[in-house]
Amino acid sequence: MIVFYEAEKPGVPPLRVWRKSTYGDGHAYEMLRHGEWVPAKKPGDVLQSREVADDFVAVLRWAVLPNGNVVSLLAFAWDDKLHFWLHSQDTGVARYSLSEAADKTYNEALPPGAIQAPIDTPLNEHEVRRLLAKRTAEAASAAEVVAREQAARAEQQRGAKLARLRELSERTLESLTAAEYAERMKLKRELRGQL
Amino acid sequence: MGKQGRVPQDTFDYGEHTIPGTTVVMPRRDPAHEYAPKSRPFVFPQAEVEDIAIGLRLGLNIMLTGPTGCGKTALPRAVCAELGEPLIRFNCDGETRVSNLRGMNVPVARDGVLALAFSPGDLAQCMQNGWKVMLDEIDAALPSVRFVLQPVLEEDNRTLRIPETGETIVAAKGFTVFATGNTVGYRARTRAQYAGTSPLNSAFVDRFGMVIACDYPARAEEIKRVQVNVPDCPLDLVDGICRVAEDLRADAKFTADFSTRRCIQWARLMVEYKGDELRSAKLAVLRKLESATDAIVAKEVICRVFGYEKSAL
Repeated sequence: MIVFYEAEKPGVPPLRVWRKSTYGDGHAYEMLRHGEWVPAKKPGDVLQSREVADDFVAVLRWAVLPNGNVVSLLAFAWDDKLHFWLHSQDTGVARYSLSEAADKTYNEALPPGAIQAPIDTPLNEHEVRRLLAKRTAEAASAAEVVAREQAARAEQQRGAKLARLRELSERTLESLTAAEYAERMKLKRELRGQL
Repeated sequence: MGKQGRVPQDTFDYGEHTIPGTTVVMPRRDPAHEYAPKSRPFVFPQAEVEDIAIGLRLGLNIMLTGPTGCGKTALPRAVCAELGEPLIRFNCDGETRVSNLRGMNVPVARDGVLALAFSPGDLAQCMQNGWKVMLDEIDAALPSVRFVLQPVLEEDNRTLRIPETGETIVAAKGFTVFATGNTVGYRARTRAQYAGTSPLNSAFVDRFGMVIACDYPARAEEIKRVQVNVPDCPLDLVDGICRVAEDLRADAKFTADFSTRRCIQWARLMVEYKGDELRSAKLAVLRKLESATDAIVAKEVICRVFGYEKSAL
């Protein structure tokens, strides 16, 4: 089963969830409405207008960016063709392209650190929000821990370097070997104004 | 020289004066002669100053040899500045003619008639007035010029014949000849950086009662020399500059000279560029090196001494 999520669009407040299921004589699409799956449009249906097409928008993939925004790859039918649309919260429509190219572009468009959701993860709006929040919080928390550790390590290193620079500065220049002199000058540049 | 002919001798005294930083006591003229060099910061090396003091006392001609920028010209200049003694510096080169030293007839207007009158050269004036003369880069002068100098260099009877006037100038008391050269000429055959110099005739060299071989100072001494010239440069940077100089001079792959003068120039730029060792090094050191190998060696040494990555320069 592949589950699609409807895109967030201006004028379409609820996030509707679609699914493609295989039963009976072939593929069919269902829509989650009031907690129940109800029949939706089928691939063979002829779409006549933009309005109809807009009703057939689905999120194929989505990802959380490091800044917490969501990028989603939308699929929609319009003019009797299947279109793909890369949508981002910050910029609105980020990319638009047809067919398979869209998926490639989607991956390329994601900045480093983006958390991608599995394609077939069944989620409703609440779950999407919760997962996003959780993963964002986890990522933020992990990043915070890493940053704290890095800061502590840097502080420790800076302290050691300062101590070493003090030690070298207290000695006379004549007593420094070539390596010690080079170390002193390097530390002095690194810790300019801190001694 | 600016003025020609005999300069009126004011009354003056001689008093004992200790050359700064040394224990050498020499007679100082008071007030200083108007042609005495202006005093500049200088670190006097004890041994060389002792030698010059003895040379002056005995009335010897003094030759100073050494690599470029080691202070062989600055030393007699600084000593004369300390002593208030007049010193005329004459730079020798391939274009120097005997007439530049001895003098020549020049056209003058006399009672509305153009006539020739003898105008004494620098050497002739120094001899007449008992001044000290410095023949700089003597090994760059043509042999013919050096032969003319030989009677002037006779320490017990210094004379200069002036064919234009038929006169013979006998050197006045106090006249001393200093000469400087990168070596006594022999490096002209081996070192590219002394191109243009020629070996000195041994009869000419023999007329110098004293040859002082100057060389680049040890690091501690060089630090003092740089500091006295660039007092604003922090000591640790001066130390680094002198470490670079020391290492490059000892490096067999480095064929150029690294003079104390260059250290001073680097230190000056170091102050202007707020301690930027590499930027100042490019301007004061690296761009002066003609050989690519020398430049590579110098870059490596500069980066190593100042604790930079090799690729920093």
